Amino acid sequence: MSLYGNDKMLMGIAKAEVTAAMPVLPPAWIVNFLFKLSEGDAAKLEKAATAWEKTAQEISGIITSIRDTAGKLAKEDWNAESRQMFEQKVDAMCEQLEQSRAFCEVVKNALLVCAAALLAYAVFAAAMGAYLAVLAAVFVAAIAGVVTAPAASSAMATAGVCLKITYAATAVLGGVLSIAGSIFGIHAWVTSGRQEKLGNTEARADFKQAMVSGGVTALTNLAQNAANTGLAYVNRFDMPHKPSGLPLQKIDLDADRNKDGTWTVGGGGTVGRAGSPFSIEGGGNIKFSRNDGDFLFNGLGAEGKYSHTPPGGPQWSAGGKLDYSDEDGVFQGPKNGELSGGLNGEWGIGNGGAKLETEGKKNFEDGSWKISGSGGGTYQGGDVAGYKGEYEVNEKGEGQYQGTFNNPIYDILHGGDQGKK
Amino acid sequence: MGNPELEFRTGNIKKLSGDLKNTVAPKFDQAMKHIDGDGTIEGGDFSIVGTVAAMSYPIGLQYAFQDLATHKRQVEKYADAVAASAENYRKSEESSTVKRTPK
Repeated sequence: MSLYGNDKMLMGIAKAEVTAAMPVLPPAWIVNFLFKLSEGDAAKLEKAATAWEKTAQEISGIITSIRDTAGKLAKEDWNAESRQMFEQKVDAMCEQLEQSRAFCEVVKNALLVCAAALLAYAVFAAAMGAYLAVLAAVFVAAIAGVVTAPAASSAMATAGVCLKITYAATAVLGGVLSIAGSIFGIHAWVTSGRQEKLGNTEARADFKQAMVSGGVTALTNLAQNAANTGLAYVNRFDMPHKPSGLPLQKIDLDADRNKDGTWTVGGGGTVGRAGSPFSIEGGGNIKFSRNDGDFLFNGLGAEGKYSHTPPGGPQWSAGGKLDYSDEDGVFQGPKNGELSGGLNGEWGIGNGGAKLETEGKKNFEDGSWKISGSGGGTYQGGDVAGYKGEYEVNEKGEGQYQGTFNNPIYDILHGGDQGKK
Repeated sequence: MGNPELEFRTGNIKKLSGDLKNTVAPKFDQAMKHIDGDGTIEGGDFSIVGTVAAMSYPIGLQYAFQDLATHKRQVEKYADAVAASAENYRKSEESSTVKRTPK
């Protein structure tokens, strides 16, 4: 957990404020719509950036270990022409891998730019939401005659300006995300070209295959975002005391391919209105792969969550998930699969709340298992502070406990990932 | 039987082949593991206005998988080639030795 974890909380505050302004200031409807379009997950992008960084480090390690391994053999051990050819190949391989490492760094940096842009927007949105809420109060006061009547029209005009500013800020966010985001695909092409020049004859084919597999995920993401844009627009007037639009809030579509070629394809949705005392999230997925043309069923997963949010009273939610995966096919192949399940619950009054999560995982192939639990405080749906404990038993039966304390407020004050234990 | 010095050399070359195959090649799987887990990003995580990023990212991720898998395969191929040339080396040295001492 770091600084980036705050974007959810800020967007939560922003949406609550702008919803409060919506009954009296029509421009706030569109601001609400634009906020919905700009809500991402900066913390997850940062987590992904860390993963790319780790992969980059592993590639550096591979380069060193190839050079070490090849260099260990003395000249007199192998003094033929074939040795020179081998050494040239090793050099070329290391240069190609240097490009692979650089690619990971580029992806990491682009992800951090995207995360920073989302966080910056969330800060802006929270401020804009607060301003619109104040403006709405001025408008109401003007109508009621508490302040002079011209203040009402000026409040409305100012709200119009706020909408323009939000529109521009959203466009800027879209621009930054599009430019930084294009790098992922474009730089893959650039890297494959550099690799080809360095003697990797398969580099272009790798890029083409990435376009095919990645394209499926890309189109699924496009479909999901297009549908959610429509839903956000249809539901832009949705307010706690005046529900409108569709009960379906957003949908979730997935088609992701992992490193071993297993696809996870699924769908889900969130049903519930802004004013309704409950909402339900549900989804399911299946996992499959193609092994030499044969279709292999690799497992399935499902999850659901019920949220109870009555106006005024305490709010709570409870959810669960279950997942089974088996890399060589369910009830097929010599290997056994992995089962995981989890339960989560949240409780809160007003803006503050508490969150509890437990998760368990058992690998039937090597016998290892892991359970984890976490608890913490939340504000407007974002994590404020918490503790996470993990107990893991590896395939040799050795147990290990690890606990981490998260405190984003501390992180903001001290500028980094402190407070870990 | 055989030349002890020659055996030592082919043994060392074969060890190089084994190291490439058993020590270096598995490191590629380790490298892919990081982006295989946390590297999978949901379409909505870039936000809706970031759809371009959500469409470009999977291509970058799949390219990294393809690229690392290819390099892993190439390292294994080199390891096999090294082992084969060690074998050839031994055979040619042996046959030249045999020529000098007729049976």
